[in-house]
Amino acid sequence: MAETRDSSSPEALSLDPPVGLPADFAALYAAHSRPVYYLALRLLGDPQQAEDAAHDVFLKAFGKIAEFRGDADVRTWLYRITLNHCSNLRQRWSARNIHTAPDEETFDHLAGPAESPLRVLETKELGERIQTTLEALPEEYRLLLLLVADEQLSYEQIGQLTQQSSDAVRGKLHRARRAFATAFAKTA
Amino acid sequence: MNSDPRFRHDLREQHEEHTTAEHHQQAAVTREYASVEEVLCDDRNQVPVPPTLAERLAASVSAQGLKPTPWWRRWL
Repeated sequence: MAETRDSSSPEALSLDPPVGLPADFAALYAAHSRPVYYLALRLLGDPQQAEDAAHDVFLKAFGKIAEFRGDADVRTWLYRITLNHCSNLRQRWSARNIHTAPDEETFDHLAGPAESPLRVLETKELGERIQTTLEALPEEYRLLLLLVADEQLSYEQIGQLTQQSSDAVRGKLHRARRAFATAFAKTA
Repeated sequence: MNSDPRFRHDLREQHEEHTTAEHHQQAAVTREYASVEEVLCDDRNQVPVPPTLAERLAASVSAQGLKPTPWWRRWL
């Protein structure tokens, strides 16, 4: 399915609260639906699957809001549900289809344009190039990059979500950035 | 002001040429990103959330008759 792009201001990150949901939950949806949908989109690679996943994530969150501990960050909590949901979906798919993901060593030995700027000729092609690039990366690199692109998450929170220390996150992110730059250059 | 029709025609042609050149320049503009995070942020900001998502969610919440309980109510 074709991916559509929004021409609205990048600053408009949160949406208007949707009608038909309880006010508190509508506010939560308005503040977090874009990052949740985006994470699902880039992990699953299909807008319709991502919409289904985001729907299930928010429905689950709505039902489990009583279990949400107030000391945890809402974004981290929603991301955890999203990651688990997308991981389950991908496991079901991979059980039906043979898919070989590149391993980290493939990229670690490549000399990539790690420090050079990433150039994009036309913004409308950005999404397709990013999706192609992410799919060429090892799953862990893909996940770390998507999480670190959310400025609201600290390395510690990314570590909690990916079950590793923040130092490990930092080390892997360095290699993940190089791998992304190398793969991204090939999509031009 | 020069009212010669040929002069006005030339002016219009010049303006059209200029506008076309400007258009081509805009179309071929290259955006540079300093980091991977910046590329992904820009991508995220441009991906719209499907409007049907909120509608489907509201319908599902209504159909299931779900009522959220705030976490703090468990202690009351």
